[in-house]
Amino acid sequence: MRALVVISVLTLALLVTGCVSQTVKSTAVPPLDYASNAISEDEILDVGVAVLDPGIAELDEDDGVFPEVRRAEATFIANELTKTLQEVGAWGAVRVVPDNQQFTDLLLNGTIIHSDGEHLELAVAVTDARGVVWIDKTYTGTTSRYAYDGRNANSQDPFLLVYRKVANDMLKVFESIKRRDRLAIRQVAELRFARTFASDAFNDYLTQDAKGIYHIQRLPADNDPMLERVRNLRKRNYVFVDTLQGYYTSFSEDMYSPYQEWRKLSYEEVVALRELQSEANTRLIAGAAAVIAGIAAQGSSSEYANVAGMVGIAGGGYLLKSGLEKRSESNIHTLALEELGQSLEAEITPRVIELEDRTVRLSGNAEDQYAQWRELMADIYATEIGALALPAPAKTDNSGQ
Amino acid sequence: MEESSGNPEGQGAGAEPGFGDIAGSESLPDMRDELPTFEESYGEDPATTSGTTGSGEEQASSGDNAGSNADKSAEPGTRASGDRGNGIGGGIQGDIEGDAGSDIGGTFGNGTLTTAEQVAILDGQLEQSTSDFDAMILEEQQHQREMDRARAERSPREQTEPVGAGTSGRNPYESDVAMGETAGGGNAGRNPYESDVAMGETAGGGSAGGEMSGGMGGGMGGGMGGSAPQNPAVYKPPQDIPDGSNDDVVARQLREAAMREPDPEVRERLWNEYRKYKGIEITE
Repeated sequence: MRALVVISVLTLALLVTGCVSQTVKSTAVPPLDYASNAISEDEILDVGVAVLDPGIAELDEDDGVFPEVRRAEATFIANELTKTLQEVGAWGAVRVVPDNQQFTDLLLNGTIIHSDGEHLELAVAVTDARGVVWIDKTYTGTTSRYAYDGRNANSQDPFLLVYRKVANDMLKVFESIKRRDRLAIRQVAELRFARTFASDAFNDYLTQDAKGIYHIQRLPADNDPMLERVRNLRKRNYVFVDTLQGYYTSFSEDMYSPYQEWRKLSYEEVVALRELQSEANTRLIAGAAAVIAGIAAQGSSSEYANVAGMVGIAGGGYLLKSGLEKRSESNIHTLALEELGQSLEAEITPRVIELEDRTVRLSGNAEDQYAQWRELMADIYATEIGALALPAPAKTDNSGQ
Repeated sequence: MEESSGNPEGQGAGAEPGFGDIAGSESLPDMRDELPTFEESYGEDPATTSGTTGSGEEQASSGDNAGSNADKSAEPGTRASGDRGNGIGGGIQGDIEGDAGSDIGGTFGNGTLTTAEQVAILDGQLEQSTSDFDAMILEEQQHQREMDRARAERSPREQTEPVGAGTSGRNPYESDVAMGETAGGGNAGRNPYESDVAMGETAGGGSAGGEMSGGMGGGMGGGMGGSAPQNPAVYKPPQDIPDGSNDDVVARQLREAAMREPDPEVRERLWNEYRKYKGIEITE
C-alpha cells in the first residue's frame, strides 16, 4: 500500500511538470457606445480628465516601476482617455486638466495601479460638479501580443478596451440621469467657478450638505452683470485649459513611439518571465515532492518501491536542478525588463521635466492673473452694492467757512 | 463752468449795485467749485493700480505719460484727468494712452465719481488684466506652434532613418506630428489629423469649450479665424474698419477700447490709432 502511494506521488509529480497554464487574451475591444438620443445643447457636459495619479507613492524599488515612466504614463493615459471620450460625441469639451482643482461639469480622476505591456489596471473615479460620484471602479485590461503587431499596433492603443469601458460606463450614467440633473450640474459648475472669483457675490447661491454634495439655493439673473463678468473670465479659463491641452497632446504624441516600443518589448519579457517563473516553481515543487517521496520509498520493504524511490530521488533531483535553472533564466528577463525601463526612462525624463516646467509655469502665471481678477471682482461687487467705504470728504479752501 | 462761477473782471469792476462794500470785499470766501483730485475722491492712485496689473514696460511708460500730464498742469482737474486717463486707458499701449487718457479723464474726472463710474474704472482694470492674460496665452500658443514646426522639420530627417519592420509607412498628413525618434513600433495608421485636431480645438471647435474658445481663440490665434472677443461691444466700428479676424493683441486691444469708448471724439481717435496701427488710410 505504501509503495502504491509513493509511486502515485512520483507519477503525479512528473505529470505536474508537464502541465501548462495558459491565459486567454484577446485584442477584441468592446464597441464604443454612442448616445441613444440626440442631446439638447444645454445638457451637454464638459469633461475634465485630470492627469492620473501615477501610483508610485507606495511602491518599492523591487516592484520594477520607473517613476518617470509612470509619470509619463499618467499624462499619456489621461490623453488616451480624453480621445476616447471625444469619440463618443455625447460630451462637450473633453480636456486633460492638470489636477482635480478644476470646475468642469464632470471630472475624471484616476490612479495607475499596474501598467506594463501586457496588463493595465486603473482605478477610476468620475464625479460631477455637484459632488455626486458617477463611477468609482477599477478597470483592468490584458492585451495579447497581436496588439503590438502589424496593423493593430498602428490603429489603436493596446489598452483601448480599458478606455472604452470607462467611456461606455460614463455614457450609461449620463443617459440614466434626468434633464433636470444635467442642467443642475452645469449650473453648479458655473456657480462654483463664480464663487472662486467672486465669493462675496455668489456664496449664497450654493450650499453643501454633510456628504459634500452641492445644492443650488437660488440662481442669479441671466443678465446679472457679475455673472457676465464671471462668464467672461470663465472663457479665459477655457482658453487656458485648451492651451494646456496642446502641451499634453504634443507630449503624448512625442512619447508614443518610444513608449509603444517599450510596451511591446516589455510585453514579451513579462510574458516570458511569467512563464519561466511558473515553470520554475512547478518544477521546484514537483522535484521536492519526488525527492521526499523517493526517500520515503527507500524505507519500504518492497523491491519495486525501492527502485521507484531511487527513480523518484533521481528524477526529483533533476526537476529541482532544472527548476533552479529556469529561475535563473527568468532573472535574465527581469534584468531585460529593468534595462528596458531604464532606457525608456532615460529617453522620456527630459520630456516629462519639460512638460512639467511648461504646465507649472503656465498654471502659475494664470493663477497670478486669477488672483488679480479675484481682487478686482471683489472691488467691483463691493462698489456695486455700495459697501465700499466712501472716500473722505474732499478738503477745500472754504472748509473754514 | 468757470464762466458761471464768476468773472474776474466782475470782481475788478468793483461793487455790484445794492451790495455796498461787501460786494467788493476780498475777504469773502471763494465760491468757485474746487474739483477734487482722483486721489481725494477715490482714495487710490489708479496709476499705481494700473502699474500693478499691467504688463511690464508698456505699462510703466503709460504711467509716466499720465504722470507727466499731471505734473505739467497746476489745476487739480487736469491732474485728475491725467491719472484717470491711465486708469481707464491702461489697456492701450503707446502714445494713445497719453493722448486719449486726458480726454477720458476729462469725462470722468469732474467731480466725485458715481458708483457707475467707479465700476467702469474697475471694469477697465479687469479688462486690462484679461488682456494681459490673453497676451500670455497668445505667447504660449505661439511657442506651441514653434515647437510643432520644429518637430515637423525634425521628423522628415527621422523618417529617412531605417525604421523597424512592420512600419507600413507613416501617413503624409502626419508629417507635422513627429511621433518620436524610434520608429520601430511604427505609428502609421494613428489618426493622421491628430495634430490638426489639437490645434483646431485650441482655436475653437464645436462643443461647449470650443464655442467659448472660438471667440477668444479667434482673436488670440491671429489668423486662425474667429471673431472679436464676446465681450459686449457697445459701439459698432466704422465702415472702413475690417472685421478684425487678423488682429494681433495690440490691434485687438485698440479695437476693444474703441468699441467700448462712449465719448465719440475719443472713440474716433482710438479708431484712428487702430487705423494707423493696421496701416489703414485715415480719412478726415
